[in-house]
Amino acid sequence: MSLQHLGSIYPGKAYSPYAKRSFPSNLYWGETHLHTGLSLDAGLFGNTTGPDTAYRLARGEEITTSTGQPLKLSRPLDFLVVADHSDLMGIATDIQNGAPNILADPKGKEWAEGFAKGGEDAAKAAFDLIGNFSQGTVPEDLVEAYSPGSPIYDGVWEKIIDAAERFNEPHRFTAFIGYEWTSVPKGFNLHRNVVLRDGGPRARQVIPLTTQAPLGTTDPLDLYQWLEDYEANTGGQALAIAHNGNLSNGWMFPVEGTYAGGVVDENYVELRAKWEPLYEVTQIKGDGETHPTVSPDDEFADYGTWDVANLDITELKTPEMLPREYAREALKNGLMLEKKLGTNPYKFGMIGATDSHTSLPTAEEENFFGKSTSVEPSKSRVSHPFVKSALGAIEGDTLLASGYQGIWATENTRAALFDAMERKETYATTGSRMAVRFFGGWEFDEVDLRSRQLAFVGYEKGVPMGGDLTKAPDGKAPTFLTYALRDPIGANLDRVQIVEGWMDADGNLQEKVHDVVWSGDREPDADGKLPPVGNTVDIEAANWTNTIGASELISVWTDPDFDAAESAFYYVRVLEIPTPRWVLYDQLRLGAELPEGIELIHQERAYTSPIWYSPS
Amino acid sequence: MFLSFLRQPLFHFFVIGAVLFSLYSLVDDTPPKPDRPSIVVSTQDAQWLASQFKATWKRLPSEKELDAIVASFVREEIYVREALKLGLDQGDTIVRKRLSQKMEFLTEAGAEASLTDDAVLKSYFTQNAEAYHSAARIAFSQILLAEPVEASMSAVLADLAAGEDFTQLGARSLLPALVSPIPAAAVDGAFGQGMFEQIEKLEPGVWSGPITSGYGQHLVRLDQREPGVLPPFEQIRARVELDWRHNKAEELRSERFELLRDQYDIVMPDVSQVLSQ
Repeated sequence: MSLQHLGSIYPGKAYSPYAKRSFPSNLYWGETHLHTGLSLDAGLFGNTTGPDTAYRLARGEEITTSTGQPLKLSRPLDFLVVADHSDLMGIATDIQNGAPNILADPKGKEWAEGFAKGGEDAAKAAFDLIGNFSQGTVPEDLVEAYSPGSPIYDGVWEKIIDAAERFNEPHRFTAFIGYEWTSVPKGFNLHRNVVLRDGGPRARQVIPLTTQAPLGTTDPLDLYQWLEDYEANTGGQALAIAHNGNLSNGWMFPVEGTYAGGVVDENYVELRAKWEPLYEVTQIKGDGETHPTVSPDDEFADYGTWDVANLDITELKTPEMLPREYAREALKNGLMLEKKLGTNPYKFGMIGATDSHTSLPTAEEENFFGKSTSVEPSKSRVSHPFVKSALGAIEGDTLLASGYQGIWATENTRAALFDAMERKETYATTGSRMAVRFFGGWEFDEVDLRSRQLAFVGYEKGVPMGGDLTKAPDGKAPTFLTYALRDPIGANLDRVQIVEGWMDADGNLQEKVHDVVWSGDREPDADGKLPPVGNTVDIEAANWTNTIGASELISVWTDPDFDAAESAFYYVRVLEIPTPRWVLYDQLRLGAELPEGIELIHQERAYTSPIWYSPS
Repeated sequence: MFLSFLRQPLFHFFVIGAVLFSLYSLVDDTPPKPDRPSIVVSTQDAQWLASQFKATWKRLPSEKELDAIVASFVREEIYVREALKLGLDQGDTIVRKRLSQKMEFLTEAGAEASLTDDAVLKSYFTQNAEAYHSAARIAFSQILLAEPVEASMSAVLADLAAGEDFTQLGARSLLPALVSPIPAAAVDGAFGQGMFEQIEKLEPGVWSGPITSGYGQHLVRLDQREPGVLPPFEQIRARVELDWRHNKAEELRSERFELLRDQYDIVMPDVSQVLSQ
């Protein structure tokens, strides 16, 4: 390669395109929300597998599921957070820690001392303890303490840490330590997953926050305090990711009062912005980007909509709850709250995850193992309601085989991936692995599209997804460089859209979806509406062809109606061409009978983290 | 009406009963029921609750917080005892699951604490060497060929022979033209299944093709091939120890479970018959 050609790759830098390149050039796939049999509810649904199965499957091995089915992912994942419920999880055995109630008993003290000595003494102590248990000769007060309802937990947290430590292999596979704080007052889903950047030594210094009294709490402010304490006391780092606003009945993204009885004040918005840099926007229990009622002009808004009720269907949904449940509306309200209180609490990046309770992070339509062990592939899973109460039902066919998280990072380590999550260089997909880049700046133009190394241009001239633009230069509107490459084994792309939200001069919140590049030679109609891409799905064969759509789409787009005085956000939505939903694979492979009127095909999608513009 | 009511035998019965009862309670000197249960939250219990709090929050609770915790503990205790009285723990899947999970954890407890020496770990390492082998990696350059492949391939090869910059040849694509050393999983993840296997076999330093990816046909030059290596034991001792411990825990669990099981006579149904009924 001669030097004169280098300009096209990386102007003004070293010969080697890899030298001087510190930007995140690698795309990693994984998810941050997987339950194993250690979660009590997962266990009750019949999950007999633990974190080992989850990690082995994620890193590409073939495993056997709780229902005895062999399973392998189409491709390995690069990272995983096992996020079991913290409630009814627990404390490293009190015996090992020498808890006061154990030491108060002579026999308990003997065991505790044995454990403290370690080695054979510990083994002997454990064995003696088990012997006494099985003979019924454990001292009575200890039996009581270990009876159902006792607050003494067992070593689940230890187990989770150990498994993550064992499977975390820097540069090959990242196993984060984490848990789910399952706050669900009155069935309103306020769940958050906690992800630690750190390894065992720091994680072992804390116990996950629970939600059950006496020690737990359902108020997110208390979770923020826990996170604060974790960082202060261990020197580590952590973040929290909320999910399923669609099941919160209007409490996920409050704008005035919080469910815990607090108000959305300066304290609340600052803490929320600090501890919740990401939002899990799509998963098996529905898609949370937006709702057709909230975004009536968005023809693709009605995807994976779960709007029956709260989590346990004890209170039905009403329309006025919806604006405080969905990501797009929250991003808009964030602009308003920033103006009012000085901080935008909803300045989050987008991720997808499964929330599967099977230890199996499956988000692909043709390889979908369901939400819980009870709905692993079977002939009847599609026709059984997933949740049912006297008020209503969430039908089995509406489970969404979604989602995954793409991360742009420098390397596959806990530190690099966590840092990318903190700076929101992540995006959500509903399960397929399309590569999506999104840069914002003031100088992007059509010439940049001729570059064969778009990321170089992107980082040189702008900020990546999750970034900020401020103070528009005189007379300039923001320009956005976008590229999307289809999943190598997936469907072609229909179009790339930029979703824009802003607060106008009168303080009204607005949104608009712009088609910025699409496949084929389609022309928008008089109303600016682009014709559909078409459909190649063969219902009988659960198949499609890539004869429509495009393998890749690139564009530079300039906001045509930009007002430098108004705060705004922009994020990318990529749509695939129509493909079969998982129900068709059930029909083809298991002979499942599909109920009338259910969704058979869909357009999978990606949502990037936004780029924000603020006037000052 | 009222008078006739007074004449009812049943009314007399009640009146007499009431009188007898009040007389009895006046003369009765037996103490109140001795089995009135008590809940004593000892200082030790409170200390323990405080230590649980500390484990979560890394600080001791305030007096007010501890008050609330103790009150909540009492409330829980009362409900638990009443539930046990009513037998609510019987046949409850959650309780059973929880108990058996606790037993399972107890049965592996020893392994976490047991110490081991390098000789044991080394032999475990040798026996499981395959698991510690790092993956082979390749670096390569690629040109995506436009359709029709045959024609564009010969054109691209001619340009390459003329010294053209390969990153500017072929169909424009967002795929990286130069790929730094990455393992099979990453290659196949980016280009589609089977890509690594095809490239790995190529003659290094020479443009070859066409090679099939998930996106089409490519000319590929293998730039570097790094075979997987077995890292020295010292380098991954910590990982080996974790694996060994995990393995040991599983052994202990099944060993101890068998011991427990041997204390029972277990009668099993004929499964095939159950299902045929």
